Amino acid sequence: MKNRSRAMAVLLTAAMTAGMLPAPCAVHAAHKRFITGIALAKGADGRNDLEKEGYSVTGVGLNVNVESEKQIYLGYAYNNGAPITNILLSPNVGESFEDAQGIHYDLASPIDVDAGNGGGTGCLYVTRDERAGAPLVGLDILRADSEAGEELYAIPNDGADYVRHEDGTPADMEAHSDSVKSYIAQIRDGLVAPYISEMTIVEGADRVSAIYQAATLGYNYYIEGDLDDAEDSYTLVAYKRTVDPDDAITAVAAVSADMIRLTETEQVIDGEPPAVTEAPTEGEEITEEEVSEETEEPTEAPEEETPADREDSGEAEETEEEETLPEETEPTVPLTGDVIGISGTEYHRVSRKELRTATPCYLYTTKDRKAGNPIAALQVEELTEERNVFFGIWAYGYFSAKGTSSAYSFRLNEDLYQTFEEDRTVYTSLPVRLLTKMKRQEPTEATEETTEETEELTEELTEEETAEPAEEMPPEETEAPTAAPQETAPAEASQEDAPSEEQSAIQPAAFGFIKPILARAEDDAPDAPEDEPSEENPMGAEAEEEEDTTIRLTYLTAKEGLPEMRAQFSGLREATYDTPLIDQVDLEEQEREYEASVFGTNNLINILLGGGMIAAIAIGGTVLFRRRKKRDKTG
Amino acid sequence: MIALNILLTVCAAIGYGFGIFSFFRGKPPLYVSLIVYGVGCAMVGRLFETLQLFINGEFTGDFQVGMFGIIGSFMFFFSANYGQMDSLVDDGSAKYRKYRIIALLAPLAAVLMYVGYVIIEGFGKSTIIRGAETLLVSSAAYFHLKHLIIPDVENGIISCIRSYNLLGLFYAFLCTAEILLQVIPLPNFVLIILYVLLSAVTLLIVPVLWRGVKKWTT
Amino acid sequence: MDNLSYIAYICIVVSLGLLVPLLDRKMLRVVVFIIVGASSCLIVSELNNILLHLYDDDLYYVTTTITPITEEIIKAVPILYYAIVFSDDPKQITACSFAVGVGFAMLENIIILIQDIDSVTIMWAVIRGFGSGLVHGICTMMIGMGISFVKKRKKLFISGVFSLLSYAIIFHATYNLLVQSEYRYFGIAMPLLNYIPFLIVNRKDVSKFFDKFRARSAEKEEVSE
Repeated sequence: MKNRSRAMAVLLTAAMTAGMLPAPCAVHAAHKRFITGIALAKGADGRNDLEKEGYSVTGVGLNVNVESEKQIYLGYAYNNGAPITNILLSPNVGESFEDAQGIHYDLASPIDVDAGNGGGTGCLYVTRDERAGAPLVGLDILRADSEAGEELYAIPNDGADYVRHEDGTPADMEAHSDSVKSYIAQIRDGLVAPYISEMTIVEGADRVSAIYQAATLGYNYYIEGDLDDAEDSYTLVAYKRTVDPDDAITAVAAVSADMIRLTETEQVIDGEPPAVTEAPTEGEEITEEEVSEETEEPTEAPEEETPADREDSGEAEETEEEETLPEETEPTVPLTGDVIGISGTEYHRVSRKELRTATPCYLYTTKDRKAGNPIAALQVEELTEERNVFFGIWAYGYFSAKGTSSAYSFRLNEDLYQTFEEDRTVYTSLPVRLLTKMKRQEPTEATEETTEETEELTEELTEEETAEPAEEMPPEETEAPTAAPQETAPAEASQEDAPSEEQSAIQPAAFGFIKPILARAEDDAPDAPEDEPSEENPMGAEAEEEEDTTIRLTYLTAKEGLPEMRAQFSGLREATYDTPLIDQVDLEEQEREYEASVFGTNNLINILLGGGMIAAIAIGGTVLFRRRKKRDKTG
Repeated sequence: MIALNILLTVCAAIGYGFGIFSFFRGKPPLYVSLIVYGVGCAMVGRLFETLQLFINGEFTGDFQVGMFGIIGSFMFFFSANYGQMDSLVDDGSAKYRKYRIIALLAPLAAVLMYVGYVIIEGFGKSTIIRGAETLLVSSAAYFHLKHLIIPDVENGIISCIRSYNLLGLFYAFLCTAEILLQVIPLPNFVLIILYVLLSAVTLLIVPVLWRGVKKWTT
Repeated sequence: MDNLSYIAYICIVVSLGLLVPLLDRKMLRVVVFIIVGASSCLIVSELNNILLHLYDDDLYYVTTTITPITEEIIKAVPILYYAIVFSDDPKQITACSFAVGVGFAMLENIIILIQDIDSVTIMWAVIRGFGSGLVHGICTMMIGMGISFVKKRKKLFISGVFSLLSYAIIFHATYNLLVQSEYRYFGIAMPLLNYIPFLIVNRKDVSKFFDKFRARSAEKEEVSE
């Protein structure tokens, strides 16, 4: 019995030892803070009542123009309890209900959200079911006048969304008010998506209108920096992010109009009219005005979704595309220049907006992994003789709509930038290359001036050019000579009146001019081809020297083993009026503040050195101790 | 909640302080020292929890170091009962078998309460640490019950501290109940009663033991 | 400059190592355990860093919950080895444990100083010297007291060590919690409040006084009975 007791004691202590570290490890996840409860309160004392109960309260009430005695305040608990995963507005149906997916919702407060205007709109219901989405980390109230409210666009990716009705439509908390609309924005955890999935170019009269344009198209990140030099407009790159590396863009290329025609021809010769299989991506979305401007494009461009169509979630967008495209497009004819082949990889044009650079060009992207690793960041830098200014590595998330009095924007990518600066083995920085024209040059000569990737391009294109023309050539392309493939491209090019005569006579052998610069043009696009550099100065160096500044677009690709972003988005607001702030934890600052423990610097040497010293002392001490013991015994 | 934690901390501190002070009056047996350190361990655990509530307004995560207070405390009790006392009162002979079996009821009850906790809460992350806590509590409770019911053979050594063992057993059940009540939605006054009882037991356990131990020498 | 921590460690250990051949056995033990403490700190710094990344860089949670556990366990291992192989004399072990804690705190302070050299002041040095030095010293000493039972009372040893380890972990975590709050001065006072009575009780003349006090109170009790 005694032995059993001993065994029990040993087992208990062993269990204790084993449990000491794993237990905190296992329960750590609960430490993250989320929105764990919401409550409504009515009247002038509503705010105080909520605060007394331990809730934080949003800066403004739900009912915009209602006097304080009738105001409805929204309080939320923000702690590490069980997180709410979705909030719904529903007519008061009792204590709880189940939606169509079987997700159980509980009544958050019996107070009608529109009580200030007489009520009847409904009550807020919450669920903690994981199927409803990622945990909420922030709430805010967005207000708009009634007209603008019709144009509110939810941007559901990256965590930002509206509180909705059961049917998925954004829920107006003031349905009984004629003049205003009031929405609750719910911000979910996991905002950081490390890869870029879609990008486009947007143009506005000024910076703000360009950003708005991006938001209406559903792009919720943009990079600061006017990409072209037109004084009357502001052009910027907007993009979306994803957590899925397979959905990430892997390369970006700038391609001149001449090259587009040429490469498209080659694709046709290759026998794969790409637009038949590839539905236009969101990156190709443009407004109707833009479509009308693009008169030189001979194809029937698909009518784009109107912004109002896109107010729902990403899934909704996809299904909508599937539904609308067959009606609105004629996919039998490939879109000229929307898809081209470079190095045997399909590239998709991101926008029909032509960049008015020294050599006017269009931006193309591909998601093919052959073209590179997933792109994690885009960067615009302004280069002058005196200084280089980075604008673009900081992207701005945007969640807004015309007419809203509040919105949020947050800076992302600072940590990405820091990581990039600190550890260049994690990311590779590549300039967006400009494909301008072809040059009669043997591949071996080309390698002297160009990069390894150029060689690849050369070989791939040569292969394509020697291929037989396809039967399914589109009408425009069939007019081109069909004899020798070598002649096809120049003929095509001269027909489209882009390069010089000398150039058009050159048989394509390689892309000779792959220039890492999107030069800022002094002139507008139509004149730009005439400014093409001469053969003596093929890189366009002369043109660049004349510029005061140059805008360069660079992309950073993630290498294998992309580390998790170090940004910690803890959600919630700053003290100022009604703007939820997505905090980023400044690790360095935190380390300075907290000095309770010692932290190394990812240096295994420390462990080896410390462990080695202790081992040496232990072994040396033991040997000496035993020798002395032996000596004591014998002596 | 903070007030209840403060009450617990203060009571444990008084009990611990009494124990330390009594060390100066006479050199204590190791058994008593261990119990006093056990109450001390519970005191620092409660102090940590109180401070965390005071500073952060909430516990950071399901696990916090304060839980080691209860674990350490019962480990001290277990050490004292098993390492010091048990060999004096139980020679391992067959005549005490029934007491050993009856004493198993105490850990069984604690384990049942834990099972109740797991049923209500579901098997999750926090059940691991609560399980470790229950394991230690039930092992200490086993010896408390055994020493409460076992016949005294060695000069009244165990009969002098039966009231202490009763308190120890009560303390073990209160600690398990504390775990269970966290997941049962009961009126606040039940929780208040529990904490007041816990405070009273931590306050009394050392003086009661000391009073019993003094009889050993007289 | 990411490798300054082990450079600082080498500076300290080499200097102390030069002292070793000149010392008698008692002093030698203390100096060697200071080196062991510094070595433990070097190991722990990297372990803490790994754990910090595991816990999403949540420094507050890690310092108040995880690092007290790792630090106390790592510091206890050399003491345990000493008690098993060399000697389990409580006095020796107590002194050695305190030396480990002091060595640990010494390198910890230097590493923190290096990492944030711009913001350190004399006050910082005083506070860290007392606070960190005492917390590590006291906590390791507590565990050392339990470890001294390793050969004598095996029944007490395992559970005793773990209960003392729990005690030390909570003590350490409480200190970490307080020094990171606005009540940081209470955090610094806490180890002092523990150390001063310990110092007094361990002085020979004081312990003689307590012996007399005990004898008198025993006499009084006998008379009253």
